[in-house]
Amino acid sequence: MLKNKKKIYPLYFVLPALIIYFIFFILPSLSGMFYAFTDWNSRSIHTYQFVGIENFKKIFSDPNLKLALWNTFFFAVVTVVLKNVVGLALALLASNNSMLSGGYMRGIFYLPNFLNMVIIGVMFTAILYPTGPLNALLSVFGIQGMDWLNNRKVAMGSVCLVEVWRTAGFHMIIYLAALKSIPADYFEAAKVDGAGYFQRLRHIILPLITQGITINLIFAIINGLKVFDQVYILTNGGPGNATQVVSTMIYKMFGNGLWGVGTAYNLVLTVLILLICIGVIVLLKRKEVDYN
Amino acid sequence: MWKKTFAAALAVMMAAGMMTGCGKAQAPAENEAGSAEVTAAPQEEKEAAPESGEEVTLSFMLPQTHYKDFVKELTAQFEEENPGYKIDVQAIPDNQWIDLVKTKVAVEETPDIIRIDKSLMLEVGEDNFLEMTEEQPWYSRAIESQMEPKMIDGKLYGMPASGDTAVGLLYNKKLFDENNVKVPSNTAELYEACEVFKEKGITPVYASDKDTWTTQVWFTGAAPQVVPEETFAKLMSGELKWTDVPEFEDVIAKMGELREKGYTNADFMAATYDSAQAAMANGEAAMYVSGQFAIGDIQKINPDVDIRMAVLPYEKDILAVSKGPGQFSIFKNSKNAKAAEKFLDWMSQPEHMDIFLAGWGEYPLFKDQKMELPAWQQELNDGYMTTGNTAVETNSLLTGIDLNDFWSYQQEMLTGSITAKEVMEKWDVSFADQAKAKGMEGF
Repeated sequence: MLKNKKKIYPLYFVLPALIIYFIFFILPSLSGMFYAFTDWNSRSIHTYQFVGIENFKKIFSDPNLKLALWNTFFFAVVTVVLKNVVGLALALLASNNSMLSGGYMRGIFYLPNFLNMVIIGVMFTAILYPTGPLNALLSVFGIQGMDWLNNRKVAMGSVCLVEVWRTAGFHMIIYLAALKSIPADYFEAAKVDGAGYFQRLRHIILPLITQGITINLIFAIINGLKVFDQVYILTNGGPGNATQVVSTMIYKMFGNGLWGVGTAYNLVLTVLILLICIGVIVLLKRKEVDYN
Repeated sequence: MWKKTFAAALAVMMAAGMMTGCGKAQAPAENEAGSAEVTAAPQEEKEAAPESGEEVTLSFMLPQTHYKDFVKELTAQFEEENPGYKIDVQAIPDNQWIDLVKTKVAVEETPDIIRIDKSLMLEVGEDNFLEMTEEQPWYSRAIESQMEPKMIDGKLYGMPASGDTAVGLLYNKKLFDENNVKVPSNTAELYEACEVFKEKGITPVYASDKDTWTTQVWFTGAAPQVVPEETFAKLMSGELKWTDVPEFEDVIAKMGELREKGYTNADFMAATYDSAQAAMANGEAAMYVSGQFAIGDIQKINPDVDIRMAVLPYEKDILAVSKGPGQFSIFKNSKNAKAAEKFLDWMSQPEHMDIFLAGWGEYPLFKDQKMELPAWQQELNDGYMTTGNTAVETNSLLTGIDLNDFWSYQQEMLTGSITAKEVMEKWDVSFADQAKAKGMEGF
């Protein structure tokens, strides 16, 4: 039977898709890798020269990159943890609570994900302004507010929280789908055995939604390490360079016409994302459980 | 069999891809060798006058903040007076301006006309623009001293669109008169004035540090009072480092001191140029460090507010002046070059230039202009512009250098994370990196 299927769908059927993928993805990626080892810049668009690992040396000697790398990891770690914790909590609430399980409530949780980042930027710039509504609310409770987006000590944290608010609903949907796939028998059996809610969470829910966790973690890690628009729109890397991340540095490099260095930065980021994601996938694959 | 076919197809595609790359690299050699032909060829296509009844659409790119109401009115008037011509304005957000222009030039998707500063023109390469010679009908009418700062190696690549403009201290005259405050001429007097306004609950100096380009006006306006022009030439040639000039550190430190003493609005890190205009227009703030262009913006919000301009109160009574690097340039590969030239000539007419320059609060650029200057501008003209009691602002002396890093470091200092000394140290490194990348001699 399998052999017949192979005959019906020969492998060269994938060729058109592969060609498109090759031209629009593989080729630019490979050329990007090549340019990372050249002095390609706005003054030598067609006359670039091979410079070996010079661009990478420059990157790792640049003090601003160290800060950008730190900020990128900070953003990735904080948002990965919070998006998943909040997303899972919302999913658990929505699946257990009749008031929250309605389509409208899920829609409301998911709504921020529909909004354009520019709109969110304008909205939160106003909310987090020193004389904005958040500080006004805090002052009602006698709490001294602050300049959330322009105080170097809290600006990165503020950007992280805005991102969590924006995407927690998306992660909730994936967790909800994973939760729905758990057979009700398991819960009934656990109840009969006298297992409490947290025991059910630990021994049934979490092991059986590992695939959902993997997907959510991978999405969150990739988006966290690739962070750009959130920072660009909310703080533009400032105050000073306090919220610069790798992608805004890449953008800056391209803006300065240092395209070769910019591509090298990009390559570093891509390798980092690949390594971390492969590590996470391998780790979580081992944890996947199937009680069937 | 299919594997072989597939492998062969992939090999062909990869080879084709590599050749595409090689082909691109070959292009400039042909260009360089045949530059005369390249420039001559489009001339034939440039007969774009729409006598045939065909419509000519001229693409005109400029930064968003330059797309003022008076520019909209002028382009509309041009279209009305010249049937068959249409101006397609591409107003680019200011924070994307430099990147976008560089990218458009790199991918050869340039508009017909651009409002560009000399500094950016040098970055993208002046050879991308049509050279302006005496053949242009407006050329002989332009004031020579206004053409000179725009020239590159003795050649002009655009029609002057900005002249000498001052940067300094904008102040609300009514507030100063009502509170009997003397216009300050140095930092000690500035602090005295600030104390008076602070006591009255008026923001003494409005600071809008969210927009770093407004933060840096202090440096570009104050540094020329204490550092001679030759020093900047030495910095640009690598003879001197920025940290070798102690005066810079003091200028930067004084800027921070103004905020530390509480003489600015408390939300200075979140405040923007827009909020500054509103604060000055509504009389919430008494002073603002900016360029003379800001007066028009403030008076647009409140036409009755009497804003004047004084020398930046740092150390000496020397007005910092920008040497007007702005010009309207035509891209060499424009298919509508003749029509673009017609537009520039139309713009250069005194009645149109008067509107344009009055909107910017600037001085005439053409000999036949007879502009009536408002009181504040006349004051500056009589007190400084015509007496020569001026110095070139720092930014105009650093042509071709991207100063964004320097401005970011200044902003960083205002957050308290680095000192004025560290600002100069960090800028020294960034400046040298940039100079090396640009192949500047001495680096």
